[in-house]
Amino acid sequence: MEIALIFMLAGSLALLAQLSVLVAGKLRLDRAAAFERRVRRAAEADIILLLADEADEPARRRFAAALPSDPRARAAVAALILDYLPRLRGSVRDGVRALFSEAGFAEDYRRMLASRRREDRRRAAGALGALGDVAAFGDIARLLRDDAPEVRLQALAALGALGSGDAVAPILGAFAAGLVPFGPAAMSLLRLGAPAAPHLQHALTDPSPRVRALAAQLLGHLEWLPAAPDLSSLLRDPAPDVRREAARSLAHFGLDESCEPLALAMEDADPRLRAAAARALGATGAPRAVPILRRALADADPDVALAAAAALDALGRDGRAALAAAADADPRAGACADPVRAAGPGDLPLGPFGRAAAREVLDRATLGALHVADPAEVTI
Amino acid sequence: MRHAIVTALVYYNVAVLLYFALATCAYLTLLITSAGEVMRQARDARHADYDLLLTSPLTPAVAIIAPAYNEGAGIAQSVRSLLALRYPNHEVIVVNDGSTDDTLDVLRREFALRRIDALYHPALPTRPVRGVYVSALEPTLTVVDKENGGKADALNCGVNVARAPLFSSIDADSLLEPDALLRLVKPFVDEPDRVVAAGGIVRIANDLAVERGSVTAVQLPRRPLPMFQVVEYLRAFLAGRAGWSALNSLLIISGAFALFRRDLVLAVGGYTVGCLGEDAELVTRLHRHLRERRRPYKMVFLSDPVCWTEAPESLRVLRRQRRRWHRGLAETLSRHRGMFLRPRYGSVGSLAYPYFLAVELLAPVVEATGYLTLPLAWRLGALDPRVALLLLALAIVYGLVLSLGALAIEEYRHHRYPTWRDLLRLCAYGVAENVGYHQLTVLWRLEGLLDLLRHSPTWGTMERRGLGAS
Repeated sequence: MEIALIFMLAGSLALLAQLSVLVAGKLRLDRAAAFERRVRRAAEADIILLLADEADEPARRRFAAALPSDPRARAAVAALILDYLPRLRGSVRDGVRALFSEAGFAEDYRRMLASRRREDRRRAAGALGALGDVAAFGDIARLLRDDAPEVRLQALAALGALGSGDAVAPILGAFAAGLVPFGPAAMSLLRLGAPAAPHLQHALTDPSPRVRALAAQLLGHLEWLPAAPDLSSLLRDPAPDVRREAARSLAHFGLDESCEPLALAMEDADPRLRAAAARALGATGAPRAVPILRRALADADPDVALAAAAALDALGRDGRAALAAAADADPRAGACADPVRAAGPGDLPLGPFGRAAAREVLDRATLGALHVADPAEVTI
Repeated sequence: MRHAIVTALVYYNVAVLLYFALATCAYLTLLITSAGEVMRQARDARHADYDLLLTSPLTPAVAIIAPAYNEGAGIAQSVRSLLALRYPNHEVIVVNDGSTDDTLDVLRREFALRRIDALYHPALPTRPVRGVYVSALEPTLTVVDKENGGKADALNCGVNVARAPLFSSIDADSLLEPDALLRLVKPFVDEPDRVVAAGGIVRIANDLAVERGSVTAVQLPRRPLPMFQVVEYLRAFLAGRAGWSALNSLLIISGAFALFRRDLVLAVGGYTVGCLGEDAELVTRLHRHLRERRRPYKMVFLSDPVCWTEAPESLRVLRRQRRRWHRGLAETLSRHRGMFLRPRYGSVGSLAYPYFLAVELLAPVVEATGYLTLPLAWRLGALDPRVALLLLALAIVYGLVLSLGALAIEEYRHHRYPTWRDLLRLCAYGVAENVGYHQLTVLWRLEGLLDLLRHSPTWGTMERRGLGAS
């Protein structure tokens, strides 16, 4: 009985605590929403006027003079202007950036990068990234090693927005150390664009296979031609992921000189690498890729055989002739060729079912009957 | 004899008390873990740049598979909502699972479907396909018409047809929020080598304002039965699944809105046809497959990608649903009983499985026997009314702690029901469900277990008004 009473008391206290949390939370949210509405109402007209005047100097002066003195309200106004920033271009954008410097907002944010509150650090990194404040680059890069994951991720995004190739090394360092996940790191690096490419090319020799694979993948997306020889060399990398990403990236370039290393990659034990290499060979347009791909039509892995068929088709007249000849000579090669030819020019996937359809033809040739209700209704 | 019965009752009561204490501890631990996980997700989501995800070449293609069986009332809205999703590269595959209503006709009419000759490769065996249609209006829509084989069979058919590396299973009666898929795919982009499955939150859509497949205003249902289910769903997702997600031990990812790696699902043989809880069974099988191969992986629940679904409005339909769910859970646990307390399955075998077995599956048995022994104990004088009332109050108080905990998480993180009136209604239903509604669900879950023991055939379908209908 006593134990039950103690439980009851504890439960009731928990319930009371939750009720208080619920009510307090609701009140807090309502107050925050009301505050934001108030600030927005007061500042929105001024912001529109500022932007309408292209944020020129007199407009900025007028705007700065009308800013509220309360720091919370000032911060809210700054956040409001930042919301507009991604939609602004040219002189208006430059004017707004100048306003942030003149009104002291940028300085406030730079100070906040060292704040003890993680939310302040996160917000500051985001704002300075949006403003393109290159002066803060070093401080933001340091945040990649912050204790708080959300601060690290915001720093990553901010570095991507700053657009400097110097960001590649710290980003890859944080990625190699497991401080930031693949996706945000890759997106941030891609956002850097061409300035990142030479640094990524340098990273192809990084001791970490994860870094090499990431760099290889991104160089393909960036279509950075000078990296092609290095990517070809990576086809012999000890790490399978790196070899695969290198082959995929080479498909973006379609270079004749990649044929030999890609031909070697076609002998690799990893079928995903062989399939990627077949596609890359198709992209080269080189007649000497034809015999290699024709041999690959007999690959034990259907994905590789299909990729080879699609690649032959993409190689033009010689490739299509080779594909037709192979199809006549060997029913399995024919099974690869049919869906590719039916789809017309272009790589797989094709038709409404794409790869599934192509696989079906292959499996029918190798495994047996098709499972359909009525062949007249669902036809091949 | 009387003495023996009284002694047995006393022992039984002690066992029930211990069970109650352990279950309560498990619930509370899960609530606290869930709160931490939802807050962590909130921080992640706040800085996530979904616009960047929308334009990135790293964002993977997704096939959305919507199995439909007699969904004529809401299918057009649902498909429109799926097609309008804010996502760079997705296809929608509706699998008409031998509907006997006008589902296919509605689709034909609304989307100008045209029958095509196409191939069908049954990488996963399914019931025969009758025809394949593409839309003249929506190039990313494919409709597959097949013989009825159940939801799992229809999903397998969709998996066969899909081309994308990821596929999302969606109930055809559900609506996704425009950003839901983009948000759900983010873990796959972040950690493409590790994340194999993800699920979003399912919310009750009854009485929502819906226009052309999009939710235009969020409001709570007017009728009591869906209101009870709102509280239940919030509790299940925000005070349950979020916690299991933090422990990487999710045994259930709701089939109403889930995202899977297609290659892995093909590797494990797809959905199990004939299993009522096909979503939970697939997730458990994936855990088993990956843990047996010692592959690092993650299955995640995210609380902000929202799927709105229509909840049963009649006791008859709700009863069917709950019987089906509980029987599905029992089938899943029974099929994978080899995972129980086996160290090789990590936290799934040592925490999640025992929890779902003891707390979720057997709870109605314990509770029902408790109710049944009450009159006997009263009759034999073995019941102290004060203790009984105290224990009843305890059960209600701790039930409320869970419900209010879920509401607090909802209020802080999502704030979907903005007015004080909404909050009060939710709290009131959280209290009221303990009298009557909860006992009914206990009874229905017991019936589900009995159905399984009797090998009763599966039963009918949901009756729908269609989303946005008043």
